[in-house]
Parts: sequence; C-alpha cells; structure tokens
Amino acid sequence: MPTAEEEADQVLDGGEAVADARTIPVQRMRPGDHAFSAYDGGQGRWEVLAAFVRQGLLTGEKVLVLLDPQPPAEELLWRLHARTPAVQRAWETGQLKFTSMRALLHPERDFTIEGQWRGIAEETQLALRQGYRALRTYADMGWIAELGADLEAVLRREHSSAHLFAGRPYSEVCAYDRQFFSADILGRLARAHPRNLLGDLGSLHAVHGIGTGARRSVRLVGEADVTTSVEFMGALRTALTPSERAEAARKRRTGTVLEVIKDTELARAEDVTVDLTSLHFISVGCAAGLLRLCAQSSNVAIRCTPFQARLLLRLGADSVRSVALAVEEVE
Amino acid sequence: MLTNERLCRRYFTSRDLPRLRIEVEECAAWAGLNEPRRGEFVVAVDAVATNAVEHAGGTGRLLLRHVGAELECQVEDSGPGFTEDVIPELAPGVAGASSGRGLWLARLVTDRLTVERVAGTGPGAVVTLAVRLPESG
Repeated sequence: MPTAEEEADQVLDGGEAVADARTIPVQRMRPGDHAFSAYDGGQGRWEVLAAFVRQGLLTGEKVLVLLDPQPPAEELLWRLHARTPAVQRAWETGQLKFTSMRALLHPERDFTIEGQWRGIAEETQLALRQGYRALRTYADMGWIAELGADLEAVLRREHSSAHLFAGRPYSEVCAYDRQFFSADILGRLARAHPRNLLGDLGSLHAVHGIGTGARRSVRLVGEADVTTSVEFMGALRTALTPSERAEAARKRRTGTVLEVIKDTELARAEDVTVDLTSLHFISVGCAAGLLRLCAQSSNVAIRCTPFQARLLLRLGADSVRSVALAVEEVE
Repeated sequence: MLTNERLCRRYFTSRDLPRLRIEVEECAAWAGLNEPRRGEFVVAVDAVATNAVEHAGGTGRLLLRHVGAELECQVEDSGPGFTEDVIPELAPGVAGASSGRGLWLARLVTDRLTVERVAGTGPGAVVTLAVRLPESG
C-alpha cells in the first residue's frame, strides 16, 4: 500500500481534502484522533455531527458540541434527529453537552492557544472523573470569527496540539464552513490535521495505488451500500481489470475517485490488494459484488476486519480460489 | 412517541440508509445487543431496507421495538408484495442469482424472519426480523 505521505501528496485539490491515507469516515473517530472536516450549507453537516455524537455515546465517551453562537438545545436535538431514548438520556445526564468555545475559554475573553489547551485538559479530566471512557469534542470553527481570533494563531494551534491527542483519552473534530474560509486556507488547515473526515455521511472514496512489490491496491473508505454501489463496483473494476486500469491511469481523476495509478505500473494484472479496513459499512450486495468480481480475476488479497471476513465467508469467499482474506483487527 | 420499548420509527428512502443504520445500531446497543451480533443485525436491517427501496416502491417505513426478550424490526414497503418463497433455502453462492441474497443473509444472522402482506387491501409487504437479547445482569 502507498504510505500516508505518498497519498497525502496527492490529496489537496483546490484546498479540498479528497481521499488519502488520513481520510476516515466520521464513525471511525477514536480517542486520540484530531480531525479536519469541511462542510457546505445544508443537512450534510448535521448528519456528520449526529454520527459523531452517536458513535461517542455508543462507546461510552462524553461528547461536547461547541457552536458559536450557540443555538437552543431543543433546536440542536431536532437537527440531530436525536429523539431516540439513548440520545435523550445522554443529554439529560450530561453525557452529551452543548456548549461554546466562548464558554470553554471562560474566564478568559480572548482566544489563546494556552487557554484553549487548558480548557480542554480540564474538560477531559472532568469527563474521566465522571466515569466516561474519554472526551470527544466537535468544534464548529465559526468561533474564530465570533471571538475575532487570529487565523494564523489557530493554524499554529492545529499544528502543535499533538500532545492533547497521542495516547490520550481525547478526540476532536474541527469543522469549517467552506463559505467562510478560502480554498487555500482550508488546504493548510486540512494538512495541519492528522485525520480528515469524509465530507458526507454515507459517502465512499477509493484510493488506487501501488503497494509492496508490483502489487496493485485499492483502498475503500466510507460506506459501501446501495447508494454507493456504482462507485464501489467501479473502483473494484478499475483495480481488477487491466483495461480499466489503463484507462484510469490516463485520467488522473474521475468523479469522486482519485486515481494515483502511474502509467508505468500497469503490468501484473493478477496481483491486487483490495483493502476494506477503512470501510465503516459494507452491505450484502456490495460484498457479494466484490466476490463476484474477484471470481473473474486471479490472486486477489482482501484486507478486511474480522467482522467483514465473517460476512464474506458467509457469502462464499472460501469457494473463490483466487481470493485470500487478510484479516486485521481495527478498533 | 419513542419509548424504551418503541425505540425508532421512521420513513426512509435510499438516501436515508446511512442515518438509519446509525440509529438502528444505537437502539440495538440501548436494548443490550452486543457485538458482533449488533453489527450483524445492522447488516440484516440494511439488507431488508435495501430490498424495500430497490424492489418494493422506493420507500419504506421502519419500526424498531424492544419486545420481551427480543429486539424486533419491522420494515414495511409499498411494493407489489412478496412472500418468503423469494428467499433461497441454501446459500446462493458467489455466481448465483443475486435475487433474495440479502434476505437470505438477514434470515441467517437473525433468530426470526417473516414476510407478510400489509394489513388491509393495500399493496406492500412487512418483513419482520428479530434477535434474542442477552439476559441482563
């Protein structure tokens, strides 16, 4: 597989992060992750936020949602479609808390890197004392304008906050509204974060590359279901079919799929790695489609989680002689 | 109104499936269903919901309930109706017809799956799938 750096070099296009090694679906956020997210107007932003909240509640984390200005809680619960018993209970007990950057920085009135770090450290310690596994924060970066903060200082903060995350019970999504930040700034911000979130819930990205030796690879990121099955199967065909790969090499980019295949690397059609470990979800239809394509190819290694392996085996993976499952634990 | 027994109720189209999966997973966890069965239940519900949007009218209605010792999901569609006969008895196999594969897998990983006509004279089918919950405490 390509290294993170090799893929990262390919990813920033007009300031917009597209799929690379650091890209994950929001459901894959774990303690220690520090992620960039960019959104346009509309419901997409709320769906990503809702997924972030629910995943945190599911794993026993405390969840802070920082919005400046802060809308009424009732409106937020409505926007998050959060009228399920679990979310309602979390809000009532304080496991889910709506607040603002202004409140986090209090009693300081202005943003300073040190003041913000101090606020996060205090909230993290509080969450642990309250018995939660970790703290996760979704910060809408509208607070930069709201507090009149210096953007360069924010960039320095994003670059220099590793100590908050590495091995620590804290994760954070920094969400930027595209209408208020230039493409250049968004590009710099995306590079400052170790993780970039897929922009939309339910989306799928594919990264094609050359792995160890002459082995080709395709890494699927996000969710493979009935709404993304065309992209999913297209990415697989590109990886598994020599003529498709040649075409892909000529186009550097097609639609939502970023192609990083090199013209000189079109040989060895028979050696392909399909990496499913960055998929949060794969449907029965997509899993069956993958096996059907693999049955027409030769020597395909499928990197997958134990859960995915079980699904593939139930669908007959062990009857496809050209397929080998490489099972990896992914938290 | 949602309660501890009636956990989730919503209409859906294909665009709603990602959010639907999240809510089903959350409610399954709330009801006490642990991994890996929880993930399998989500895959099964997705397969049934996908069947509704692909083959049975494009929309569906999901109701998730905690009933006794079971977590039960009903998916109602507005298609022409179908019976359990469309579900293959044996594993379809990699090269086999794709028809019914999702429902076959859903039946395999759950404890109960039934298909009935929508009550009354209207079109549509109701697929009910359920899993037993682990005993608490």
